[in-house]
Amino acid sequence: MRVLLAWRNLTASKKRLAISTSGIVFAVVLMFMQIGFRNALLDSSVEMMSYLNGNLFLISSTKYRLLTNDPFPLRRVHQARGIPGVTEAWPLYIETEAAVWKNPLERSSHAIRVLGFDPNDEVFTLPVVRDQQRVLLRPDTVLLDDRSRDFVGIAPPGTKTELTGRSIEIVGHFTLGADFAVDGNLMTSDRTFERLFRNAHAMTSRLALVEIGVLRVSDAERIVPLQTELQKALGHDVAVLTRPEFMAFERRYWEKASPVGFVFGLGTVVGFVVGVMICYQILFTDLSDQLPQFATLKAIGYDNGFLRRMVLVQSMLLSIFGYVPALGLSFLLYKLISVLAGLQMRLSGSLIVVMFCLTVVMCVLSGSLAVRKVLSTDPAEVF
Amino acid sequence: MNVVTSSSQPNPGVAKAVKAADELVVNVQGLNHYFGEGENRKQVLFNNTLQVGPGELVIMTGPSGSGKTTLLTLVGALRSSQEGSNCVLGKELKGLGAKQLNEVRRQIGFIFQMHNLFDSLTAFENVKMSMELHGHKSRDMRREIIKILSRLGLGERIYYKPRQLSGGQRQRVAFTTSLGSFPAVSDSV
Ligand SMILES: Nc1ncnc2c1ncn2[C@@H]1O[C@H](COP(=O)(O)OP(=O)(O)OP(=O)(O)O)[C@@H](O)[C@H]1O
Ligand SMILES: [Mg+2]
Repeated sequence: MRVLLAWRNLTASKKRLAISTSGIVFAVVLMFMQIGFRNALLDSSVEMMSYLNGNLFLISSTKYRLLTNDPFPLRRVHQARGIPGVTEAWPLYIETEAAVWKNPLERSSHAIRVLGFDPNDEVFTLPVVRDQQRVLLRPDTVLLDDRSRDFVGIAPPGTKTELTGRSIEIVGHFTLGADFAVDGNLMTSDRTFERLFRNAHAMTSRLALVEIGVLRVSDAERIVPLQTELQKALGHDVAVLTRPEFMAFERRYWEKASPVGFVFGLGTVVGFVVGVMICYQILFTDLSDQLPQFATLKAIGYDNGFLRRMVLVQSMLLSIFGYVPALGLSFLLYKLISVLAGLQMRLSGSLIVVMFCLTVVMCVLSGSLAVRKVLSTDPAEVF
Repeated sequence: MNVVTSSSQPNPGVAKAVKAADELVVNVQGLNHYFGEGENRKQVLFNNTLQVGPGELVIMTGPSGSGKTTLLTLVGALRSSQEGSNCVLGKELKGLGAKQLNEVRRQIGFIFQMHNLFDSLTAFENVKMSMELHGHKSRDMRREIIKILSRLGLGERIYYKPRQLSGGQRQRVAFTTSLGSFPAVSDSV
């Protein structure tokens, strides 16, 4: 009976239901967007790493995030190659600070990330890169990330432009994507990389300083013992990380150390609070309008438990009513943002479940606040 | 405040006087009631006495503000009794807590001046709402509710919502909701 009453209370007026539902939808979509941006940020920050063809990775032990240049000596990569169990050790060079790219379509200048590696190495798993990387053996050529931001200028292969004042030719495209910190990506050979970023005053080659060491091991079962062994052999200027550790390392930076993770976390909380307030208002009005009826129920012997459970059911129904359209709308908005902003907004199964739980908690919380008024009604007032 | 009692027994007034206390459905002795606190404290009931036996129909009259509703809410276990004895269905209500009063209420039928039907529920569902408290079997209950509503001329409107019923029809639905339990206590019908 309480389910029926809860159901009827909600659905009695279609107009009111529509207003209530849109309130919940608003709050839930707001939360979806905030969490979506946050996850997109975290996902995009580790996207490049996820395409690296390694089981173990070397980075400078003082590195706190990938974006900042903090290289370690190439020597360590060679050393790692000599350890039994390590089949390949490839250096990956990254320049984010000194690289200035001239948009070939508009001639405007922008910062860009340049990934340099030996075209004979299989540093990336991306098939398009594998297919085209040998073209990079030709000096002063680059592959351009076609999911770079528009202002980078996604020119077709064959286009010539300038990178850090040097004439360069686009010989192909690959797909990686921009993130919050990087607007676009280029891939080039280690030799071109050297010519581009060599410090004229430095005695050593730019290639002596590696950003990431990509290691392949012969036995995937023995990754962890090998990791310990490598760490011991290579000393403490490098950190040896497994793939999950490597991804977690970068995620952690964005989640904890950068304000961006915090801002979107806060946005989610705001969405939740707004949702509680909207939901409370809806339930409170609904219950207040029927106060004499509830007092009557108490007068004929229904106890507070019944009323509590009824409001609980009503809030849960409300959360379902609100969640379903909110999920649909968020799906569309995610698609739209992915297309327009080039951010990968993923609607994962776990996000769908987590958001549903948040919505239910939001409604139940407001329900338990709203029910207090009903509980305090005096049954003697109905006569 | 006058109390007029009608009963199937001959000469009710006399019969009542000799009736044993444990046969009475309502036995109010020396009941006082006050509203307000401190300086605003105002006595509303003064040493009231009321005895009602089984099967009796009691009509209470009195000027507005004389305390009829107050007495009914006390007898109906809707309010805590303050002074005197208020014995209903063989149970002393004075000194009972909210939970125990609630238990007693389940055994009493009420018809409220404001009928207080849920607008979102049909006539049938409104009656069911109160019947369910008394642990009737669902199938019996359904048959019973339909029977009573039909007898009250609401046969064709069992599945109507209160808004679609006339004032009188609503009042009859409200009356039916009170039949889940007996005796009935009614205020200003
Ligand atoms: N909750 C309350 N708080 C304070 N005073 C009250 C309260 N309820 C009733 N009273 C007072 O108690 C007195 C008796 O009220 P009661 O409602 O019992 O009268 P009544 O006989 O039912 O009147 P009516 O015929 O108008 O319904 C009135 O003077 C009223 O002002
Ligand atoms: Mg009255």
